[in-house]
Amino acid sequence: MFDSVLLALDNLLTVNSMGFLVMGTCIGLVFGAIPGLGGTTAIALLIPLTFGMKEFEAITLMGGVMAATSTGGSVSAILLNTPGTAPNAATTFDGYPLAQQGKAGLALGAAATASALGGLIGVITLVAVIPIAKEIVLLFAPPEFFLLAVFGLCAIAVSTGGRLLQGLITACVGLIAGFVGYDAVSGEVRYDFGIDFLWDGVKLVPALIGLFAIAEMINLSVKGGTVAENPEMVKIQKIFDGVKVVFKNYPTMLRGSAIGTFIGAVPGVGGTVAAFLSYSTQVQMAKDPETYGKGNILGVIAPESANNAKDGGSLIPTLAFGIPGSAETAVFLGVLILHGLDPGPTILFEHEDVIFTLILTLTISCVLATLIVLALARSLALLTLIDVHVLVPAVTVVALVGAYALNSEIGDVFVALVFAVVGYWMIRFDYPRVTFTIALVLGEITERSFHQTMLISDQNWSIFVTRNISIILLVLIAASLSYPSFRRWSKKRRMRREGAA
Amino acid sequence: MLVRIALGAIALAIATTLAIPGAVAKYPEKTITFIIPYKPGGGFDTYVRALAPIMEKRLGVTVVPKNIPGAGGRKGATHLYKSKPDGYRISIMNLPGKAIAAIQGKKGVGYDIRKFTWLGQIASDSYVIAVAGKSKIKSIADLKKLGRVIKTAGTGKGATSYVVSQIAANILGLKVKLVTGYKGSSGMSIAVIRGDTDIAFFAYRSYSKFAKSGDLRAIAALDEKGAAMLGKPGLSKLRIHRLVAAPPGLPSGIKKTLEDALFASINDAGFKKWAKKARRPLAALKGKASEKLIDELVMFYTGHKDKFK
Repeated sequence: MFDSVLLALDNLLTVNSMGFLVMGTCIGLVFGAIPGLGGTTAIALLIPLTFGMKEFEAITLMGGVMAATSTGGSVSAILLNTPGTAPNAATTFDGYPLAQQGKAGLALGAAATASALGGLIGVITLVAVIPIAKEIVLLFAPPEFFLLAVFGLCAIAVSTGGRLLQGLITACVGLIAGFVGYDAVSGEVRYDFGIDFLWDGVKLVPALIGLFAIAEMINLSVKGGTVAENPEMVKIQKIFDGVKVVFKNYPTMLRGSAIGTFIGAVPGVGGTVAAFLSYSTQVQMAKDPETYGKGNILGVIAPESANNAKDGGSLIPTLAFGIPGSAETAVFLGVLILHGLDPGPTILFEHEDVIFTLILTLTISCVLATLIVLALARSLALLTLIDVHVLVPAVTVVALVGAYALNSEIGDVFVALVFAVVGYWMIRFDYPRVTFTIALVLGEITERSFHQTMLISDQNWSIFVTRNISIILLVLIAASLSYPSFRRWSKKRRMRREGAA
Repeated sequence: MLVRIALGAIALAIATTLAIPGAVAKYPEKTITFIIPYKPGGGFDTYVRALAPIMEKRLGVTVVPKNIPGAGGRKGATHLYKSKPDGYRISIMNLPGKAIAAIQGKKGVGYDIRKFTWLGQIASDSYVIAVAGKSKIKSIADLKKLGRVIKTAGTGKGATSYVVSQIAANILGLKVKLVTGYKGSSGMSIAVIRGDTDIAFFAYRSYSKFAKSGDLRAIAALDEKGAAMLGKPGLSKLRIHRLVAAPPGLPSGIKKTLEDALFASINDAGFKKWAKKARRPLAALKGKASEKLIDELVMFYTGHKDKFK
């Protein structure tokens, strides 16, 4: 193993490789920050460029892109209320309110720092668990996927911001939207209204672009002014405070990274779910859940540490079985095949140097991406001070082009526009958008894993209570649902006691 | 005078514009889109992305791979079916997956497999029935001895894995239940290794990697030799085919150009070298042979159509 690390270092420490790494990181940041474009798009577009490269040069370029996209995506999530990539969606919930309060610098600093630390923890965990990689991947089966998704859905209860009924309504609409399209289990297309375009379902990124970015732009143009509600309040010098706040709240960051790494390691779940689970766990464990969605910095740290940690985590199934753990690793493995490598369960024995080159690249790139964002944060935060007359047309155009660029499909633009109107009415009538998004993200995996579980168990519900991890997850679900009531009860008791005293 | 010259020029311009469709248009003269009806990163994606630059050299125009995923590949196929037959849109297609609508006699799927213009076949691979490396099951006879419905993993109803498992089970006299919703052959292999299902049907190449590591073990091969050993030679007709199609009604001149370029590219020394190194099987066929193959196979699949509800 040590030889391979040295060999990987040797591959990496050349002018060419380092150049490609920096180039990959910059491309990743830009593709991450532009809504609609993401890591998979960037890697797929770069494939022809790698034909003339040596294997490890292609790996440094791709690895640079992979590690940087979700860091770049956090920038647009915070400043424009639009997730740059789907895994950044949870960052908008608290990131944008912070920007509105004039704390964009703080949020950017925290997001970038959490990204770097999460990424590093993901990679370190990856290296540490190599000997038990197979066991980790096999730990979770459909019954556990289902319970994990239910656990995530439970966060809806605490994310309504005191508007329980409205929250449940939007969550139901989110679930329904998540069921549109082809259902792999039955092989049928549902709720397509005869439109071919809907066969692939309501895609998350265009829906979120509409729901958050364009809806916000409509709201801003009606209201006028700037993103920051009180421009005099904006203190952009707070970037370093953002760095500090991550270290101060290290349990949140560590928990986020752990969730990101493990969800990343489970094939077929994905980074978006990882970020959402991290966010919901954070809200459910918080002493002050009502402050989330209104600009709590921990609501930025939790998803951002998770969505970078998932990059390391998603390589665990790759090392164990040669299969991808995320959409990005899937394309990355495709690149390896194009270069004549044949990734399989024996990839670690056959191409150890390739793997370590990638691991080192991910490590360097996630730190580099963060340094770039921190260096630019001050200028980026000025975006929140731009007058709406300039900001609204610019953002709307970029957002719609992003929606189109995702698959060069005009239907995605219509999805974004429809959700823009829906999102605007939700802002007007004070219906929470967070609950809608959680349901939309988790709806598909909830349904699929439930059907799979029932097929595997021959319709026997006991499968959920006869497996160790399932029981742990059930306990977690029960705890997360009862914790708010318990807290209310103990608060009341304390108050009564204080009143008596 | 000037007006007359201008009018004349306009008339001439209109005349030439109108004349172009009548004259033999030069083909190809712009970018050709090579559709992959799945997400980036899978087997179909890799074949197309490896082939595109080689076809580019033969045709002299850019060949751009484009992923149109959705509905288990049906969306991309429908897209191609409805495209203009001008030779600028072609797609990789898999059989038996794309034949499911023809087998079920279903309408409203958006395409009729037999009406596409077939340009050729890139590759074809035989199937194996595999169990987890640790499983006690050693043969088809062992499976039958279990005396219960056998669970098999698949991506979805309407996918190749569904067609193969239904037909193979029918021929072998096995009762199978398909657990669907796994992502690609890698998701299916994890399902078997984890013990979600008893078996799964894998294309030989996807299986061989897991055989080397001992995670999966084949209990029956469905190639000609294996099928003969099982006493069911018909099983060897169940293969995965990676074909290339154009929309129905492609003019024969354009078809010939594309077909020849495709055939030459698959037989290109560079492409063959890649396929060997990346261990991807190749089986080049021309358009006519592909059409014949599809007709035969659809007949064969349809013979088992009562197994597809």
